[in-house]
Amino acid sequence: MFTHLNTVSYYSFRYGVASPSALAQKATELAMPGVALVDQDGLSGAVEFFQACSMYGVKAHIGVNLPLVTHNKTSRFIALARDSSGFKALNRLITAHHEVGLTFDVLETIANLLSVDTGLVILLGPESQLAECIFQGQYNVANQVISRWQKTGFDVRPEIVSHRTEYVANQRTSLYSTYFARQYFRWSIDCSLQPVLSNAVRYLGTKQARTADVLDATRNLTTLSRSNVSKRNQEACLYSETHMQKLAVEITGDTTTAQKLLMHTHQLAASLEVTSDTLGIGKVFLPELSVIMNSSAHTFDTRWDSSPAKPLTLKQQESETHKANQLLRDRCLRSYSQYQQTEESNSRLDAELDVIFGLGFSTYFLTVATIVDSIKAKGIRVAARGSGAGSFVNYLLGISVLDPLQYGLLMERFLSPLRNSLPDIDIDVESHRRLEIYDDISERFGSQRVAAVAMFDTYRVRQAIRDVGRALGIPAGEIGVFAKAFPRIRARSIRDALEEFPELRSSNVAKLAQTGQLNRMLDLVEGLDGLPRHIALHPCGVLISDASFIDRIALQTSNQGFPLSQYGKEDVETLGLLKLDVLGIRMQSAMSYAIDEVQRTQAQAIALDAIDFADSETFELIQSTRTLGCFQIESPGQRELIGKFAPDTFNDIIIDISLFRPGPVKSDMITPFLEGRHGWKEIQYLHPRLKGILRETSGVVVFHEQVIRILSEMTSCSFAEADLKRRQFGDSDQIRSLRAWFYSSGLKNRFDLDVIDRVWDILVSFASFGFCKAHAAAFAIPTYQSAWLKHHFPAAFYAGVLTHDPGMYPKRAIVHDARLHGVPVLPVDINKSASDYRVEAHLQSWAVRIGFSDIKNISEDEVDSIVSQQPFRSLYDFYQRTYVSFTQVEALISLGAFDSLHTHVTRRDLLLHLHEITKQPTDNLFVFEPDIEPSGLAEFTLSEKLQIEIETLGIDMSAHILELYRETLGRLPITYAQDLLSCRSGQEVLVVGIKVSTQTPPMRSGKRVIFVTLDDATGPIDITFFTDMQDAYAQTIFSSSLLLAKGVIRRTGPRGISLRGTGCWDLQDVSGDNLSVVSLAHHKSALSAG
Amino acid sequence: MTKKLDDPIDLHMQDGVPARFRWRNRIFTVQRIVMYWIDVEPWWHHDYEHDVTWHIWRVEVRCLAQCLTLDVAYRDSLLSGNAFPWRIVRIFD
Repeated sequence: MFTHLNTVSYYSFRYGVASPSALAQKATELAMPGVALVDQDGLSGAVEFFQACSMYGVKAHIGVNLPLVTHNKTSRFIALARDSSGFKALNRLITAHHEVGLTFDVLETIANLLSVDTGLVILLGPESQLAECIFQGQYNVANQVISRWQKTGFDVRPEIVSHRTEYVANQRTSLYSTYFARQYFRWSIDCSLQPVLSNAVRYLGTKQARTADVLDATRNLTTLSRSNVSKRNQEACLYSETHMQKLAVEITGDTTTAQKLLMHTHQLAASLEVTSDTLGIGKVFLPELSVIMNSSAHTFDTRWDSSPAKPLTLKQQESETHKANQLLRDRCLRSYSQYQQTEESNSRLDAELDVIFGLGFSTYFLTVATIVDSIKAKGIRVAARGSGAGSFVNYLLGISVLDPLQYGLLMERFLSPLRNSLPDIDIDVESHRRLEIYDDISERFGSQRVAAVAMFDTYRVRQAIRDVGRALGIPAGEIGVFAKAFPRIRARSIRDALEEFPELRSSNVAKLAQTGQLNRMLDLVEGLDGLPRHIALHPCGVLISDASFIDRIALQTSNQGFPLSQYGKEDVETLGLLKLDVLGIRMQSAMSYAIDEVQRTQAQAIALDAIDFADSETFELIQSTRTLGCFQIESPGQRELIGKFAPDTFNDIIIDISLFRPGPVKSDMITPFLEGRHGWKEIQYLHPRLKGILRETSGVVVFHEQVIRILSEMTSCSFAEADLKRRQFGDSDQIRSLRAWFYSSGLKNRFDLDVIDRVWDILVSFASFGFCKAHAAAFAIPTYQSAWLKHHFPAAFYAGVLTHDPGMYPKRAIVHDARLHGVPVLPVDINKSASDYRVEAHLQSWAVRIGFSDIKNISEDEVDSIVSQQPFRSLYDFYQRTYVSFTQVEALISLGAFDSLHTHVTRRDLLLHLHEITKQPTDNLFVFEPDIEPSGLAEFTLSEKLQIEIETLGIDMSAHILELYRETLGRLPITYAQDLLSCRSGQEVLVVGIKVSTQTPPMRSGKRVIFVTLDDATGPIDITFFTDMQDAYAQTIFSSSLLLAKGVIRRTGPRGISLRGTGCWDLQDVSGDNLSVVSLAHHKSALSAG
Repeated sequence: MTKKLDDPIDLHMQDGVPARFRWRNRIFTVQRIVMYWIDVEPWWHHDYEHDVTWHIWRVEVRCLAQCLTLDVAYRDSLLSGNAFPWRIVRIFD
């Protein structure tokens, strides 16, 4: 009966190799009674490990490997939890390690604070101070160390390890030799200690050992060599009991003594009891009501040594719950008094409150409401997202702005009396102010109760290639090119990617791989797949809990200085913690910026959350498909869909968002919907009794809410039950019993068998891709708001979008969209530009002025120094008063930023002038501003200007970049975007443009297509290249930015158009001499097509 | 002083440890196992897909009246199959 007490997973970052689940699985295969997880510095793997062990039926032991500082030297020890007091101590130890570092004093403080005693087991292995003393032969010091440890009251055990390395005096690897293990073991026995045997496990088996070597090299930022790799062999495996018995004999020297060592180990393992209760699995820990209602701020400097919380008595808990229910009801009724009350709304409110009270979640809603109030009070835009928009209580609390009754949204999809799990409320806020909100929450609830959710940055293909490359000693430049050739995919898919992706298939890397020369490299890259590299702040999750938080969750501090739980997203849910997803949404920032700009320039306040959701002009804009920059509806695919759909109500936008998803697109739900919608075909309802449910989507099932209603109507079950049944559709184990239930209840409710058959088929196929209407509705709000802003305040809208960059298009594409939309975009001007994009009055209208901050390599300080000193009289004045580097001044001149100050000279003159100014002595106070004389140097040509603009700003300010090719293009039969709509289906056209985006999504067959979007100054053009064209043109598509492409038109609706690519060339290659190649090619195919 | 060498020997094991061997036409008997360790050749220096593992024993041996300490070893890899090409890799004077 052997139990490994020292096992690490890959949550020992860049050290361990196996996943926690794999360790549990392997221990089961080896028929071990249990296995411990003792990762370095944290418990990130603990929940996964515990759950996997429960599943496999092995006992999980939880511990951690931590550094201890004594006399300025760092050594390591392992702490294992024996019971719940030990587990609390573990969390404190880890938090203390990250806050102050561990010393014996800190250990003792924690021991006393929590009365831990033998609840914590300490293992002192080869990396410990004790082993070091024995190794150095300092037996007196060893005795002192052991008595210092025993003073803590913890159960202290020497940990005997042999990785069968060579013993060489004074060489640290000898600490893992059998020779030293025997020495350490004998000393322990002589001191009457009870040593235990472990194998300091780092990987499952020898197959993973090379990965461990690569991690060693990566951790040390070096290449693979004996001095950088911590091991000499591959013995840190999760070995079997038989192997460990053999090892015990090897170490102790005889079988009897070996048995004793094994028995100590077994007895210790048997005494460790960590249960799901210890971890807090299956419980809910909400903040105390007094904390929620108390608006005063909390501050705590340290967390590790604060006094532990006293648990509430049952009676106290009951009175808290009662108070919370009362408070929630009061808050709801307060805003309900302003609501246009109906019979329906009355019963809806009562029903929702009943469910919330029944689940005991009042505190949860009060917490979220408090936070939303406080965000609003700071003037930050906030909007609920997800199924939470389906709750009337959320609406009344001001968490969501949409009335669920008006749009037929259901609470049951969000919160159900039949599921006892905390609901998820996600809120969207302005992205650039997200951390401000974190701080606010932390202050409000006290930093002892608040932490961010962790996220693990895991190895994907590019980073894996870089690290393997460095370990193997391949030059950084070479490996960088290799890594960048890959799209952002999993490391384990590297071999498939080389065959599958059009941009790789034709590359040199793929050719080299075919020769087999890259096999070792590829193996190692695959070996790193999915390994977490380090812990990071999750982009949105915040945990809010009660005072017992710090005893249940180990905390560290994120790079941004925010307290960070060591657990990931799924784990914190398992641990019953209130997780609020605060998502930073750039579009919210962009809209907020636009509103501020309108206020600043036009003194007009816009209440964006109160605008009319039935504004016909906004719908005209949406129908025109000129929706670049708008939330959710700017992609080529969405523009095609809204062109065909022509939404004219807010509900239509909800439908549009739900339809534009892979499932509905793939199963072609869109066609029957559009046919019904436009009256091309008569709508077929499944049954007259279902007509009311399906009318809004022309008889097609689109929403989860519709499924719930259909199930309820046909089986007479409640919505809550119907939602549970709906969730079972995806589960193949449950589908049989579900079918029996549906058929029998349907027949009982007097539905015909053929109707039941048809509905069943639809529900089964729908299950995989339906969408929650509340979720879509929440998305539809910023979609509509952004379109509304684009129509009514276009200049402010573009300024916001350009400043916060929320969408998929490069800024230069947005700039040209602004021009097409009648909003002039003005160049950088030294006196008129600000840091960001600003709205500016221009020729009786409004324009957008480009700001300084997008200039390449300009620093924030430089921008500040310009903006704070504005206005300037001249270049000389500017140079005297700002701290801008010489190259940046040159860049500003070249961009024309000084043109308005010096109208009579050219930019070349100004550059010359700049050189003269800098040559002036700086110590003379009586220097006069020198005059600028026209030197006769010519002004930059348009072509030069554009080149500079693209290089330093990324935006072609002066004109569209295609202007440079005007002459070439004039000689070709080009069709421009604005004229594509007048082409007929099947017609072959030649198009041109700057590449705006490329995507390579897989088709149903698994093969990939290339989607390219070009911008030709009159609008966007979307082209699809299928597999047959990829060998010839993929290289060009991915390597060139100015493209000339040939394609065949396909009409998909009145405003719908798509192009199937049949050829593609780099515009720069075909201009000039070899122009004839393309035009001939084009001409010939045009002939054959005709 | 130690001397490195790479002499093949014909070694006989007993209870999983070296017991005696023939070297330069003389028979040596193992008196005591001093230590045993495993060493894996750095895989980044060779092209084999499999690792080359050395099992090494430091032993005190006797031949007639002569006593010696030396390291005997065999290479465990798929390349060498199941045959144990034992050798002496180091001698201590």
